[in-house]
Amino acid sequence: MTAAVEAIERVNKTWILTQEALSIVRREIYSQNKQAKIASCILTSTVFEEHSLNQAEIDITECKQAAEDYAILSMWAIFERHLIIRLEYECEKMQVIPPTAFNQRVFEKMTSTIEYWRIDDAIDLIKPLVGGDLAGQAKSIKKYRDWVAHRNPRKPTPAKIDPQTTREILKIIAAAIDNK
Amino acid sequence: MITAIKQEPKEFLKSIQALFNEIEPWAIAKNLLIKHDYVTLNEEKYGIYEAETIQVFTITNDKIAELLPVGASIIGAKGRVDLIGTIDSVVLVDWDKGGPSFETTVTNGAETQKHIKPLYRDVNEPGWYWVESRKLSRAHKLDEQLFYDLLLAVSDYDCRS
Repeated sequence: MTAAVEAIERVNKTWILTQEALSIVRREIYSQNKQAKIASCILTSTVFEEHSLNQAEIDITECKQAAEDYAILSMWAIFERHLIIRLEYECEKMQVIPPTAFNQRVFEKMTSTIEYWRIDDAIDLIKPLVGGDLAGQAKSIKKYRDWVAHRNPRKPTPAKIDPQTTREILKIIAAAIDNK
Repeated sequence: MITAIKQEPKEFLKSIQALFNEIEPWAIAKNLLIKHDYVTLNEEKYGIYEAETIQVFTITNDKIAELLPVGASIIGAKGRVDLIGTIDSVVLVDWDKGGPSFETTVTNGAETQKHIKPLYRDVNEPGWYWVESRKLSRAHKLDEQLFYDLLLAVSDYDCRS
């Protein structure tokens, strides 16, 4: 497993555990509410202790959405960094041995500017490794990631994705560009 | 920002209708009540449109779940509907036979290799699916028994027997 894939898996695990933990809290508040408001030991000394069922539902729904957003943002950040490192490595292979002064300057210029390339252009470069289909999916994830980052409810949503599918797609691409 | 209607995602709306037509008798068979409503969606590809939702109530009129369309424009699927209960929620996705798969084309000089990689196993027919485990990524086609299992998972309401 590559470092990028491992990092994506860690984010996924954190997202899963967060979702499960929030479901446990919601279940506890719900059952406490049903049982004539008997105080719950599990919720003692937490912010949920005094929450009404309504308030808890609102907070937990928002929390779950935020956890989903952060998972997608984090997975994309890991993937983007991995892509940049991979492109830098590819540039390194273009150095002649021994490098001429000209070759060295071109190399330095390229590697120092890769981070500022448009991400769509960077994704286009890996098409020979992963194909147009996956490259297109990566661009769609980036578009959704940008929408999530600026979440403006008045703006229409681009094609949506959940953390699980994000994980699957980015893992395939990360592994594919790593091995070539 | 107001977006003018582009073109309603007819296939998605038809597919939701088919899903709800299946679920409604399953719910009624367990003495559950169904109420119909609408949600307004706003997607870049389709603009603003309304989609039907259904809410599931017990016979004592306690709401236990809602089936809420999320969108037709979904990466890796033809549509998504969330089953949101009092405790948790699960995602249902509309897939073609085979489910989401990605074609990788690796070009090395004159040689081109194509591989098709499906994301999930056992997607043998088109329809609405639930991905069982967020970790193991197993997909199951929605049927009556699974619907009752999911209701239990999202709302602690057990109508399986």
